[in-house]
Amino acid sequence: MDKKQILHLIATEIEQGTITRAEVVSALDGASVDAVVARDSGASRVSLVLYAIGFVVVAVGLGMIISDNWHLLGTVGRLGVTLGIGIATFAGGFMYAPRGHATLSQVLYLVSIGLIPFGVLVGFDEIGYDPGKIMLAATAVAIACVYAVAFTQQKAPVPLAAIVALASYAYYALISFILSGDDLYDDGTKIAMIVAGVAYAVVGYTYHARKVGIVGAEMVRGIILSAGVFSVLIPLFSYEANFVDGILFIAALSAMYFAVFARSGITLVVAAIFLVAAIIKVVGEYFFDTFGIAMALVALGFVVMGIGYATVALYKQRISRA
Amino acid sequence: MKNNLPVLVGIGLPVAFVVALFAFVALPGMFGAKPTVDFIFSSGSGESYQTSSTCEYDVVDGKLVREGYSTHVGDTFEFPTGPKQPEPCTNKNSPELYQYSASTGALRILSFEDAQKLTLDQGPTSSDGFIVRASSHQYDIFDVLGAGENRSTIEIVKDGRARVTIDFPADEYYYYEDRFDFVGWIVR
Repeated sequence: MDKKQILHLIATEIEQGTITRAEVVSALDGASVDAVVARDSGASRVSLVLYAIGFVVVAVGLGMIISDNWHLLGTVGRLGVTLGIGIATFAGGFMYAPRGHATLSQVLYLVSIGLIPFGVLVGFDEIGYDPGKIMLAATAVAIACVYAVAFTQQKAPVPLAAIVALASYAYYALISFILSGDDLYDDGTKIAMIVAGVAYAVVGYTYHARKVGIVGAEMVRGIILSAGVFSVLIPLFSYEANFVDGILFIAALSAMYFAVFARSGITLVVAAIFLVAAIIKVVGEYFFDTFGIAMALVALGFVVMGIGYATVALYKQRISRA
Repeated sequence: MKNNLPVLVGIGLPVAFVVALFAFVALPGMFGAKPTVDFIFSSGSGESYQTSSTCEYDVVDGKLVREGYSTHVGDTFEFPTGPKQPEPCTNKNSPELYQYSASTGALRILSFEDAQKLTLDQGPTSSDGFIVRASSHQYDIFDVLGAGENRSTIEIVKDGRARVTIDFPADEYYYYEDRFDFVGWIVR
């Protein structure tokens, strides 16, 4: 097939409506067809809203039915409505994704995230087994591995969120197990949060949500990046030492820079909130006595407005245009 | 290599932290020095709401004694007020005494009369460098489906690390850390 034939074939397909111009252009940019469908199709947005509403209604309804009749269900019934439905929805999500139903697939994965871990715990409970922290961590890692299979195949956002959530649970279970009964518990947990935050930031940053182009990918990426910012900055707030206040201020500023660098609007807002909080903390600790509360509040008000303006400007210039 | 960065950092960094923590915190706790000195403690206040009397243990010249007092019961049932009055101590109004055996790790109930025969050191640090403290475990996200409910433990601690953890003997007092009173290390 020569060049002319290829171009003619593409033009014919566009005319017939098999594919759109946007999908062709997008394919050249490296994005998937799903991305274009998700981005450009109004029908897809409507279907997403309907999926979301349906998901909430089904989840609430099922939850009520199951909780009302929990005592009537036997072991098989309890496992069926939790682990069984969880596995079924996971399998559905896994099979629907390659068939052009990326959004439906994400909804199914979302249902499975709640049900599979809960189902495993119900299983433990049914056999009278009390899992310790090590077993809980191992279970979380095992379930995360299942979602890792889905993620490596499809690069879909919800399995990534599941992996991050389950791995985090396993991580903190191990930290809690190791530090239990130790004077290092508080400080060790804070450092563990910072380590986890760096890991979230790297995972979020290297997840090419736009290239993947599945609905919700950007949001999941933003949530993971924001979790990174949150996880690094929260422990710094709890320290009283003066030099940590300096680090907190620099870290909050760095988080804003990182949000712009990672081109994540959600993360930019989270980082801006932390920067405002850091400034309030510093002003409260060091300047209320020196300048008086009234003067400090005036200055603080201007600073907060300035950060708000800078955040909007950064978002418009560096993130939304990118 | 570039594609593996999230795997290397996202998984490697937390795993490395957990391994380091295990090596520097958990292993010394597991394989470090264990307590060798037995001790006794009391659990429960021995307080009776009917008489509002209570007894407390003390060590005088290395020997166990107990002192009792009663309080005037005021208008409120739960918060007796008024000056303390001396009260004769009996086994009924005294907190339960327990002996911990460092060699077996077992707890046993000890009568006041038997405990009086022992020579005690109030410490709080034992001759081999341990202290004893009560610790309460609160229900958290790692206690699922009713497992691991609130409970209190007794920790035998050295260098800031609990080397031995014992479940609190009186279940009904599981969240009252202050029901635990260290009495003394047994001097051999």
